[in-house]
Amino acid sequence: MKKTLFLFQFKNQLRSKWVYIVLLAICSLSDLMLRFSGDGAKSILSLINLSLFFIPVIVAIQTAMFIYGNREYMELVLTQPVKRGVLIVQLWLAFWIPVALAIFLGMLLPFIYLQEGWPYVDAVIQLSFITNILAGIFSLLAVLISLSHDDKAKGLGVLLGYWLFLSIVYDGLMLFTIQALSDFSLREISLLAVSLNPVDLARILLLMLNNGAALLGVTGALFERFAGTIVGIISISSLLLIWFLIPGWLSYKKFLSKDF
Amino acid sequence: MIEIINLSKSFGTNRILQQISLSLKPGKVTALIGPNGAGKSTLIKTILGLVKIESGSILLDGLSVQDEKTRAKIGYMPQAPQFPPHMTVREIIEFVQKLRVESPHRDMKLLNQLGLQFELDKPFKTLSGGTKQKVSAVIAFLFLPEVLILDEPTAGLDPVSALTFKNRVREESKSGKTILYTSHILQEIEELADELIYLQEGKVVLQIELKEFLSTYKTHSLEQALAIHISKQEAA
Repeated sequence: MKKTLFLFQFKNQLRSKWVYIVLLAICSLSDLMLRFSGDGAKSILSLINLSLFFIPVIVAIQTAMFIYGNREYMELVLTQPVKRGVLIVQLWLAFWIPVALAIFLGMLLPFIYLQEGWPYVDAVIQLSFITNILAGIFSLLAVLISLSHDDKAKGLGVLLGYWLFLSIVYDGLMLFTIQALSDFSLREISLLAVSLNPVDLARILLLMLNNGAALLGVTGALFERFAGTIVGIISISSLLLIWFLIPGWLSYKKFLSKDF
Repeated sequence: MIEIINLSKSFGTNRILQQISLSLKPGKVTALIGPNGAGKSTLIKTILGLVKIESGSILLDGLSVQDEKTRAKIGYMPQAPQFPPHMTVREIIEFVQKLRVESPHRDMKLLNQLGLQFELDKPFKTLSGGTKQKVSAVIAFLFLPEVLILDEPTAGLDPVSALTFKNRVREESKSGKTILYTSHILQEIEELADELIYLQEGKVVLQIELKEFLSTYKTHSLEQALAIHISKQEAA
């Protein structure tokens, strides 16, 4: 019984077209960026934008559709002698692992089969790893939101709202605040503000790993000055892990007490 | 035997079930009926552990149904079954067998009776609504559960399959199973039910033997008897 739910759903996911569409789409974009830029470093920077902006929202929407679409199935499984916690964890993992593999392979493959990508294989592995963490955070947020809102349209609306806020509005608000309060020292507050947004954390981590903190403006440079590269990388990674665990834990608790 | 004691449930400010107490006896088919929004689905879902109990209790052979181990004794057939779309009927049946590894009995008779042996290697998404319902029926009866909860079970079934299914329900009832049956087709309830529970605005307004109920109003039609009963209640 231990892995039955996971294996059953995993098999179903592997037969689903969607995973292969994600793989092909990311692979094509990665390939095109590498071919047209002719420079692995430039194509990695372009891929960073794709990773931070589009992949999380696509994965989040797909996760929400998965949860809404499997509601009756979850009900049916719960009428069997199955623990609620086991069901949600195995179901999410079975959904998430094929998606994570598709993201990983989609980014990596062109850097392996195109010669100009070879020197950047390490960097693209790092990038796909962090993209998967960020997409995982958004996927878990999507689980939490879908479990909290029975109305699919409302749930998707809330989810898109969160994504817009974390991906676009938050940075705008931060910039506005820093500018408006430029007479004051906002170093610590800026660091705290960055910690509250997984997209910013992922962006800073990616650029720090690629020695691009200088490109980050205020917050990245602050992080580097504040912590130094290694400690900075470790502290940002820990914050990202916390961001991963919080929606995961809340989703788990929500599922345990949910009325279907 | 299932015993429901002082069961109440609210969703927000909506009180869906109010102090429900009833028992479902072995060897009987109990029909659960009532108007839309009466709380039938919530009651069924509470028995199945899908809805958390707010107050009161539901016991199956003295054990709470909120414990997942107790649910091994229940077979459930929902109105609209759903399984992962790319999995075949055979894989779905094997999957449920693995989930119920502790249930020693297997009964595949219904699978053949409903003609599902020819559909075993088809993915679930390619099946018609009626065939999906057959898969759900086979799974509900597969482990010879003590209790069967059948929610609009014949919806979508062709007449021959519906007849086969109803015969099986009768057999199970005779063998001592506790069966809770909901249907909007009153004729079907007349055919199958021994007992009747009428739910209205979250309250049990009637729990009676079907024969006794029909004889009270001197009719053979459940529809007619219910109409008289409800109008009398409203007048009072």
